[in-house]
Amino acid sequence: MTSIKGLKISGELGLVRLHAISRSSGLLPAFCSILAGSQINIPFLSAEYQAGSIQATCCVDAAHRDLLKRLLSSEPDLHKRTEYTSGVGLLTLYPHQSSLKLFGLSLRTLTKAGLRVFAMASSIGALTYVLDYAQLDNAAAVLLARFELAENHAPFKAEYTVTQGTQRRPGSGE
Amino acid sequence: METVAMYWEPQIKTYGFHVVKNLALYKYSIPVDLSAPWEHAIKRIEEGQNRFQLVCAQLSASSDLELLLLCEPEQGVSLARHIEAEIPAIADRRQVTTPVELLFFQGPHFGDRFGIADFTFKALKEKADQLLASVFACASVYLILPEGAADETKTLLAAAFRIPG
Repeated sequence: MTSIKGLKISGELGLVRLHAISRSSGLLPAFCSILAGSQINIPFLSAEYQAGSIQATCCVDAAHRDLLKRLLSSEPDLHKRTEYTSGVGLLTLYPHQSSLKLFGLSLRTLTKAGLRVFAMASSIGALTYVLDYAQLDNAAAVLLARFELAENHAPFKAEYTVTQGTQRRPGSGE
Repeated sequence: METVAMYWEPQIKTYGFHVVKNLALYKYSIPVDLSAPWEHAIKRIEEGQNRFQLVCAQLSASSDLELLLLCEPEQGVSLARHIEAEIPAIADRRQVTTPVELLFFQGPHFGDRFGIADFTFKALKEKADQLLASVFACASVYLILPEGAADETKTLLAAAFRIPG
């Protein structure tokens, strides 16, 4: 059985798909700039640029849904090229050790269980899947039936959060 | 959920930039329910010794998974052989771009902090138009670039981000 050291499940997120046939207008940088200006984090973003077009998938905290919709509605160019889907989440498993074994086995396991994969991406040590939020626990269960999880693994769900501040801490010197 | 830490940096910090050149970028469209031939093909891939630099996928408008796989060229040849053994017709439809270059970096809690993608794109300026793909996941940023573009991109990013000595 293939071993993994950990698996993490995110809170509820919204999925934003951005598609444009031309990248010259800088749609994705503009989109990211608008979100940054409203302090909206993008915990997952995957973009492909080809033959002048862009296809991007990203996730934002579900709590930002209304704010995001307001922001996009004031940007007609972005608004008509984005599509919002509620109720997704991230499932991250690690380490992949740059081997396709974890990728292949996890993708096959998830799809065989009928779980819809909206997107996925590797990072330095982990594979992250974007799945239906309501199915995250089920997805974790089917994966844990195929992988041997280290005994001293971290909790599946975060017990605290780290956020980006907007001002320096008094006396920090920076 | 309790927030136990807040990050603020006058200049966003990274642990350093890594460039890998002479890579091959493979693109496949995979049925989202993994048809039997695709399941067999993926099983063959995972049973082999194939290694990757980056793998990512997005659901397309036609409900296929558009898979991008970035690897050493010789790994890609082996990978393509495994897939085409199961799905011979795919040889006419796969897209390969080579050589391409990869620039990747990571930083503290990048996945938890707003503004990382914005800061990256702003640092790239008009060079963002050269990107073939970009991925921001967990605390990592991966940028796939055409041949000859990674060094200049690294210079731009190094001027914007702070790398602790």
